[in-house]
Order: sequence, then structure tokens, then C-alpha cells
Amino acid sequence: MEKTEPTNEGDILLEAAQKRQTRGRRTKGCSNGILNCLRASARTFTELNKRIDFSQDVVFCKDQTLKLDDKEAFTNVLKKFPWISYRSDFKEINGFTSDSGWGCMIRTGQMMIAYTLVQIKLEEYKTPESDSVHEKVLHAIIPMFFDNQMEFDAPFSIQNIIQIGEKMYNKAAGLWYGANSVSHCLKECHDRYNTKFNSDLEIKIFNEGIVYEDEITKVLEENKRLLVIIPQRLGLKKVDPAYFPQIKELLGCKLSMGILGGRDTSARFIIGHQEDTLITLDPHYDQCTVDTLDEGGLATYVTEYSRNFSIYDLDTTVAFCFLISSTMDKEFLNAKISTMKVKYKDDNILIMLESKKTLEDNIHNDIESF
Amino acid sequence: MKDFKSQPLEKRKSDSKKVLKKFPTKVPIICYKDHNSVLPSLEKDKYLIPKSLKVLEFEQIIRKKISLGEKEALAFFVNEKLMPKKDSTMDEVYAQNKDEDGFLYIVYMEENISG
Repeated sequence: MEKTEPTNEGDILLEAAQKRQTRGRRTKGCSNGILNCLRASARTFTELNKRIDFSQDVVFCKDQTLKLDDKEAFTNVLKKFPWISYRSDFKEINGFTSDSGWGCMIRTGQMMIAYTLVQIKLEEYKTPESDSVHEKVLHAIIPMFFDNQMEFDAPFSIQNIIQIGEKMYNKAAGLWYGANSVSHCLKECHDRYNTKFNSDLEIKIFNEGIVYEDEITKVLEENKRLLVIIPQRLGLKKVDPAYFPQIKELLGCKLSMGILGGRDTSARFIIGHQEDTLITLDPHYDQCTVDTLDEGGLATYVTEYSRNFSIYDLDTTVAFCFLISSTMDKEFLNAKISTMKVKYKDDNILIMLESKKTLEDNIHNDIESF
Repeated sequence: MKDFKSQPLEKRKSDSKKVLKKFPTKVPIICYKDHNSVLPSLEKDKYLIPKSLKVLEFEQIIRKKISLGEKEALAFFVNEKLMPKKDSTMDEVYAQNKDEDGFLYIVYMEENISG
């Protein structure tokens, strides 16, 4: 499968280092030397865009099945996803000026929300999507994720997330997050600060794979869209391969905004797959904080490289993300869950219920210990 | 559960037989948190569960028993896999997954974190 091995790794490394060095010069206060750059690049670049067979279909989220033919087409698709990585030299949070080594799940969550907001914004432009439209949209969305700003200025800044995480989960800066906890923090950021961007979006997080239909209906009735996040732990030590077909089906479906997931203890934004290879954006690449998208700033939020791995290495904890914009979308999700129930029988991982109240009303008896 | 499993198999077998006979509408389970979990423990680990109780109802009951907030993640496993589909009855889960000692072992765990 690995036909796309870099022809000359040295060249790629050097190019990456040069890119970073220029960026370093451009970015005020960046103290990373070329040695660090090389080290980071060497670690990252050896595995990039690997495992993809360009003669075969690649499935990206939002039901985009693409025959890419070549690497360039593949990287063009990657560039449509906002990429958010570790950053250094940001305003101090509890003694930290960088999230390198602890912020990867936060960055992964940011990427998912950013991607969702980009999709919504793209719809607002009635013209066919072009590179210039896409760039305009990124200019509108990315500043909401800037590191150095707080509260309404950058609703999803790492500072905001940490501040909320401290209250909600007693997690100080420097502590790790999971797919569930970061989702709740992002929802809180959104609910508190969304007036800044007039969002017609709501976010709901459903526990334990149970989706409540009435909660979706209510949001749609208010003429809003809903981002549904379903965090799930799919195994104690490993994900059983019995769940792989469902993971891939949910990832590729037309409502999918990707999966928050990871490998070992490193979080990734999972955006697509080819057979058993997951295509992911990796936040583990330390860049300097930027406060503007001009002067090359935008380039630090876009990547040409995905880091792919086998679904057999998938970490147990994931969060499925779906954007529901209409009653049709809701019916699509409903139908998807129903057909999956029949298809995957005992291994089925999602269920839709009328309401949480019906579930609670049905619990008549407590269980007795003996 | 180590403590429970350290009892001789024959004793556990006769225990489960006894309760199954005495309570024909219930199944005996052992429920405990994974040894790596930081979640609160259940006060007791041995329970009698109505056969008709659904998996998702059982999960809600345990969530309440350990007083876990709605913003916390919780997952249940039998034999290293997720509890079978949420609208199965505990009777079905029991029939398919019970241990040779006649008890059904259920483990719960929070989410994994990453940096």
C-alpha cells in the first residue's frame, strides 16, 4: 500500500525546516532554533501521507468519496480542513506558554469545531466553492481560535477552553483531556461566547451512544443547526475489530464532521479513511503563536500532510461528530441508526430514543445487591 | 473482581444456582470498575437484576449509584467488549456472556485521555 514513500526524505526534511525557519523569522518572539525545527520535522515528516494508495478511492467525512489519482489532489483536499497544532509563545496560562505535550486533544477538538464552522460558512456563500471563497471563509473562522485572545474575542481560544475546563473538570492547564471532556468545554465556550459570531448553531453531546430525538427536533424547530457529538469508549484496552465497519460507516456518512480520536495517547482529528487506514490531521507539531492571518499566518493553520495509521491502532475513546442542518438530515441520521441496528446486531453502538424522559420514566425498579 | 473470583469456583457456582432458583425473574451479576478507573466505586458489587431490565436502563441506574454527573463519560464492558446493543434485555446479555460460575461480570470505565 505504501506507494507514496517520499522519494528523498532529506529534501522533505530540509524543505520543512526552511519553511519553519522563515516562519520563525516572520513571527515575533519565536525562539525555536533550526535544530528544534529539524527534530520536530524529522519526527513528523517520516510518516506523512503514507499508507494511501492513490489508485484507489479515499473516503473523507461528509460523504466525499474521491478518486484522487495523485498526491496533489490528495493534498488539495487536506488543505480544505483547518489544521490546528500545538503552539508556543502564547500568553501565559498557569505558567505555560506552550501546550506542547498536553494540548493535543484540545487542538483536535478545535479542529473539529473549526471544520464545522467552515462548512456552515461555506453554505452562506451561494457561489460554488473556489479557492478564494475558501480562503475568505478561513479568514472569518480561524481568528475565533487564536491563542492569545480571550472570551468574546476568540471564543474557542485555548485560554477559554482551559478556563472552562478548570471549573468543569478541575483540570488545570497542562492536564490531558479526552474526547468527552474537550467536547463539553467546547460546547461551553460556544454557549458563552457565540454572540460574537451570531451563531445559529447549537451543540449537544450525547452520552453512552444514546441519541435523543426530541432534543434534535427542538433545535431544528428554532431554525438552528445542531452539532451532535457522541463520545464513546469502545474498548477497555483496544477497540474490538467488530466495531470497525461502524466506525468507518459513521465517519464517511454525509453528516459526518470527522471523529475525535487518536492513537496511543496522542489525539488526532480523523477526517477520512481508505479501507483500514485512517486519515488524520495531527496536532503534534509545535508552531509559534500568531495573532494575525496575514504575513503567512494563515499558512500555519493549513497543512498538506496527513498522518495515517491502521484502524487496528485506534485508541479506545472516540467522539463521532455530525452536523444536522435540516429535518432531512435528522431523518437521515434516524435512518442510518435504524439500518445500522439491523446490520450490526449485537455489536451495534448507537441507538436513538424518543426522549431522555421516556428512558427515565421506564426505570421503575432499582437493583438490589445481595 | 478479584475478591469475588478468589472464592472457589464450586462455591460461586452453587451461589448462582441458589439465587437463580430462588429468584426466577432475576439474574446475578458482578459489577465493578476497571482497576485503572478513577471513577467512584460501587458500594456493593453483587447484584440481582430483573431479567427484563434493558441495558440502557441498567447503565442509567449505575450512573446514579456512583453519582456521576452528566458531563462525565461512562462505558460498560462484558468480556472485553461493550455491553451488547442498548435495547437488549439483561437476560439476553446474561445468556450470551455469563461466566462458567453462573455470574455475569460487568466492568465500567471512564474515557481515555490524551496529550
